[in-house]
Amino acid sequence: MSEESLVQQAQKGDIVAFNHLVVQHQEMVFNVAYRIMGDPAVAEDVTQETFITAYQSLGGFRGGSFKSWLIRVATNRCYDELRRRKRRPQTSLDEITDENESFAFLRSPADGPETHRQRVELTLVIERCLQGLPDDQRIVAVLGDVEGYDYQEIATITRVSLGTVKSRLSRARAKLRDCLQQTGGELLPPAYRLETRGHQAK
Amino acid sequence: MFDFWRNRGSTAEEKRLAALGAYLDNALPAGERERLEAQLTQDAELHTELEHMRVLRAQMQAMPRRRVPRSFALDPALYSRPKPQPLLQAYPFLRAATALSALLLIFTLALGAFRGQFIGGAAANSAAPQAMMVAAVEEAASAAEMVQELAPDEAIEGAGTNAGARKSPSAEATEDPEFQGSEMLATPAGVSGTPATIEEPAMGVFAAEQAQLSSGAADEDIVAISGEGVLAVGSDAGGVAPSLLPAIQIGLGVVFLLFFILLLAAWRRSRLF
Repeated sequence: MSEESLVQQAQKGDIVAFNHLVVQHQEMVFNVAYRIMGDPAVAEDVTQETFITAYQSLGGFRGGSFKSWLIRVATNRCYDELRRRKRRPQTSLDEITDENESFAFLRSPADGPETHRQRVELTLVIERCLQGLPDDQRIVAVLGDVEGYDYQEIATITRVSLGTVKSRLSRARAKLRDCLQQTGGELLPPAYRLETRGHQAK
Repeated sequence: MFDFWRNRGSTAEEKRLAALGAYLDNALPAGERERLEAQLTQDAELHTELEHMRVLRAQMQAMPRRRVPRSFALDPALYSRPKPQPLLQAYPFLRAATALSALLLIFTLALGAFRGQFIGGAAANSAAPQAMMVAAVEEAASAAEMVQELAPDEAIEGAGTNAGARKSPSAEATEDPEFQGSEMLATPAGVSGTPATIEEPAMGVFAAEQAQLSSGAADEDIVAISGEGVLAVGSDAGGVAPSLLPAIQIGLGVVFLLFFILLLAAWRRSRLF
């Protein structure tokens, strides 16, 4: 059954049809939430809230890409949660557990153990650098560079102008590059190592 | 809405990075793209920068996805049908209606301003005295001429005096013209001539007669001024009846506010999705 007909059925109150949509998109929503929030437990809550809000507000969906609409709902939930956390800062238990635990949750192609380890370590470094970005820049970086949305889609999802998307993305990339050079340079495969400005990439 | 304001501090370096990023993402307009490609062939540093950006993007895209810790499917027993979203459905209508009512409101306010509605607010209370003074000054001049003809020797002093009497157009002037002639000397601020006593009662009677003659026209003007709250002296109301204009403005203001509040509520609701 096509996504469009599933959406139409869900709009009529067919929760089974909606749950098909949940299964299709939950990994994408959870990963976006996780990259933005940087905390699996919070990402889990945000993902659940996203689907509840989406189901209850399906009447407001006026066609177009359901995936983009869902990402917009998720992004708004993330914004809400980020604002709430700024008002009431808290430390998540996940932040103080051993990072190696998260290896088990990472899905990776069929790499050898060493390659897998390197990839996971690099991912952790990038995630840490992402968390060092301002919220607005992080969200644009996640949507653009991790999820692969184009500028127009990001502008629609985040409700900012194209120029702002470009500007935020370039600032985010510059900060991420600096962060990776400082903290994760040795983790990168030689072909991907970032040299300091003025030198050719190897 | 004010993104351009937030971005006003972009440095040349940031603009260069933004252009490189847009080039990498195939989001650069054709002209700028060609210009940048020409620069890239000549500027090794710029080329290195671009490669760094490309590597960074590749690394981020290659990040493995996390598996979901559990299913997020909703329990049919807990969640009812999707709620209808009348405000969201009406959002385009509300936007148009708000814009239209705002335009109409601005138009009627501009119309009111054009007619002097607002500067008349404070002046409305003093509009009648002002008009009386204007009428008095004009009549003082004409009376002075007449008095000069009748009694050249006493003309100058009498003119100021008589003008004071005729300044009160109808009722006061007719009740006791002689008394008015002397008592109202001090009243007209705009009337030239110093307060003076009336030496000849005949002058007061003459003033009363002049006042009666001119009271008709002056009354019309004053009624128009004080009744309409409009400074335009005369009877040129034209178009919408002036007394209706404030009512229309208030009505439009209320309608605009109502639509605006509904639009805000719909917009706020739409921010959720």
